[in-house]
Parts: sequence; structure tokens; C-alpha cells
Amino acid sequence: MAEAVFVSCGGAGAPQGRRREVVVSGKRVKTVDVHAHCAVPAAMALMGRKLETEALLMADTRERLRAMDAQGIDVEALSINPYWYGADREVATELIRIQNETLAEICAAQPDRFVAFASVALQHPDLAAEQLEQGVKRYGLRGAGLGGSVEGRELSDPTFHPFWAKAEALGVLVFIHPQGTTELDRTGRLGGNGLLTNTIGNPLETTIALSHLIFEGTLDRFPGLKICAAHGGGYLPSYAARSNAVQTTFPHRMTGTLKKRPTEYLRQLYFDSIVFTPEALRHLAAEAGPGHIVMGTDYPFPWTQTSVDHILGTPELSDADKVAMLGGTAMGLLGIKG
Amino acid sequence: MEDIAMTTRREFYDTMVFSREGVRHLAAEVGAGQLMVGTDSPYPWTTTAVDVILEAPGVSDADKVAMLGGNAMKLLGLRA
Repeated sequence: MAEAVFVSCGGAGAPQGRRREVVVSGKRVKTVDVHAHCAVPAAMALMGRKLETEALLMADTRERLRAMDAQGIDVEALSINPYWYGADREVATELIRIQNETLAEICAAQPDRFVAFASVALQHPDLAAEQLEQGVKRYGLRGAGLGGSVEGRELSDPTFHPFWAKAEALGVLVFIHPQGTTELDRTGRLGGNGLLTNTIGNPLETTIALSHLIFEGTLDRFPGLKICAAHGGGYLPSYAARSNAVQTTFPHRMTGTLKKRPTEYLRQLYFDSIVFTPEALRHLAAEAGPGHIVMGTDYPFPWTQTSVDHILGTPELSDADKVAMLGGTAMGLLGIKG
Repeated sequence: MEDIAMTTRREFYDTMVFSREGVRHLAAEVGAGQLMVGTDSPYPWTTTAVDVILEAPGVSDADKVAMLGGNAMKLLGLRA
């Protein structure tokens, strides 16, 4: 493994500063961050929503680019966490139009630094399918960003099949980002120290969402679906084999037949690399396959500022694995040119 | 405040993770000295609780002995 840091001027519109260029095996690697947040206030206004932090704004991208350059991130795949799943059809139509048009403008302004996932109103599945198709074909967006559930409905709910069918037909990546286990929030069990609503509530929701997609047969029904789960897939890959064991332990609680063993579906999914330690990344690679991990940062939330070094510094990964995780796999999934 | 990674070194865990890779990961995260074999008997979750420890990759023989019984013997006051 050889990694060097070069310094060059930023691209068009980039701030003055040092741009780290990541090199593996003597070759420059294009790095892609699949987990980067942003916000569109004009769309939020339709729901009366306030901005969580100004760092989500894209009107002035200098600070964001400075952070990307410092860490060695070449491209961010932007997504917006859903807050519109309670909106009626009319509001949802207008909100998503504003949001996807704005995302397209942001990407067009700096096409070498930003691509984006379309927003979709999944509470209206047929509308969401249209919005995804329009987002991809008219606006050049690269996939869709979803929450981990929709107003109490699991992503495996058959009402969402039209959306999954469209995503599969278009061949685009669907990024699933949790919004906590709000049902538990109400009980107070995630109260107290440590922001457990987010710290464990978010990965827990992802664990639940992915488990339903596996056990309800959604991934069998749509085998070509490309899904990327945030935060390394939550807790599912850490305890994957229990999902196989239940098949023999409580077979009478398994309705229907899955085409594969539950853990095999991990190799049908993609996961971001936000698991913080080399040991956790090594384990995720062992369970999902190194070709199923794509780098994420969670920008602008400062959970980690070492996503590139995390991958470079995981000793069990080959150079080819590192190149794939840093950007190669995401470039293929998101249609980013080298 | 104590790092959460250090806190885990004062807690003990059973090895009900069903796979060799799972045992390897658990030992790497919390330390083999904190692990004790478990089966969930009579519920048939696993029949390979001993084997996944014996076959866990990257785990030393001493750590396997500790997980299979050494740690539990100490904690439960069992004689060899």
C-alpha cells in the first residue's frame, strides 16, 4: 500500500487551499462520498421546517469544498433526509419538484464535485416512481434517497413495490438513511445521556428496515435493485448470522420461502463505510464483501473527518479493495466518470 | 469520562454469534477475556457453539481456551 498526498489548485469555483489527492498503488484514485447531506430551504418552507444547521446550505459551497479538499474527497453524492413523508400529494409534488430542480442546479454548477440523489415522496408510491424517473432522466440525478420507514410503513410494504420496480428498471442506486426509531422515542427508552435516539436509534432503524426487505422477500422480488444502507447498515452486519439461525430455530415463524440464506442478501446490498474503526470495516467487508462498501462521511455532521484514512488504514484490505471503497464502486453505481 | 471501549472490558458476554467470523469480530471488539461460550439451550439456536470458537480465525489457542471455559470457571468459581 502506498499513499501519497499531492497538493494542487482547486477546480473551478474551489476555494484557495490545499486539495489532497488520494493515491493508492501509485495511482490517483477518484474518491466519492455517498453520504453527504444538504438542504433546500425553499422546499422546507412548504412544510414549515427550519434549517438544522447552515452547513447544509449549498448557496455558498466554499466551506464544504474546503472540507472535501482537506480530506481528499473528490465528489460528494448529495442527499436530503426526508421530512416530507406526511405531506399530501399536492404539497409533495411541489416540494419534490423544487428540491430536485435545485439539486440539479447545484450539480450543474460544479459537475466535477457534486452529484445527487433525487428526493421522492414515497408516501405516494406511484408519484415517487414518477419523481425518480423524472429526477434521473430530466434532471440527471443519480438515484433516490429514502428514509428507513414511511410514517409507520416498512419499506418492504407491498404498497411500495411500484417504486422498487421503477428503481430496479432504471438501474439506479437507492440510498437509505434512517431517521431514528421514533416509536421508541415516545417510550423514553432512548432518553438520558448519549443522544441514544440518534446514536443507536438511527442504526437500529436501518437494521429493522433491511431485515424486513430481506425477510419479506422484497430483495427476491427485485433482485436487480441497488440499495445502499447508511452507517454501515446499522447493526445488521454485526450480528448477521442470527438471521440465518432463526430459519432453523423457529422454522414455523418463517412464512414463505426466501431464495437465499438471509446473510447472502448482504452481498446484494451496499453499505457506506461509516463504522469508525479498522476492525469494524474489516468485519463489514468480511460479511458483505469488500466490493459492497462505499465511502461515506455524513458531512456536515462531524461524526468522522477521517473517512479516507479509515479505509487507507485498514490493514486487512487489499489495495484493490481500498480503491473500490474509496470511489471505484460508487463511480459505477452513480455513473460518475473517471 | 471513560471511553466506551474501556467500559466493555469490564463487562462479560456470551458467544452467541453463530459464526466463526462473528466470534473473531466479538473477540476483537471486547477482548477474549470477556467472552464465555453460551448455547441458549434448550432453544435450538445453535448446535455449533463450541465449534465456532475452535474454528474462529485469528484467535489464539489461549483465547479459545479462555472463551470455552477458562473465563467462566474463574467467574463461577469452578475447579479444573
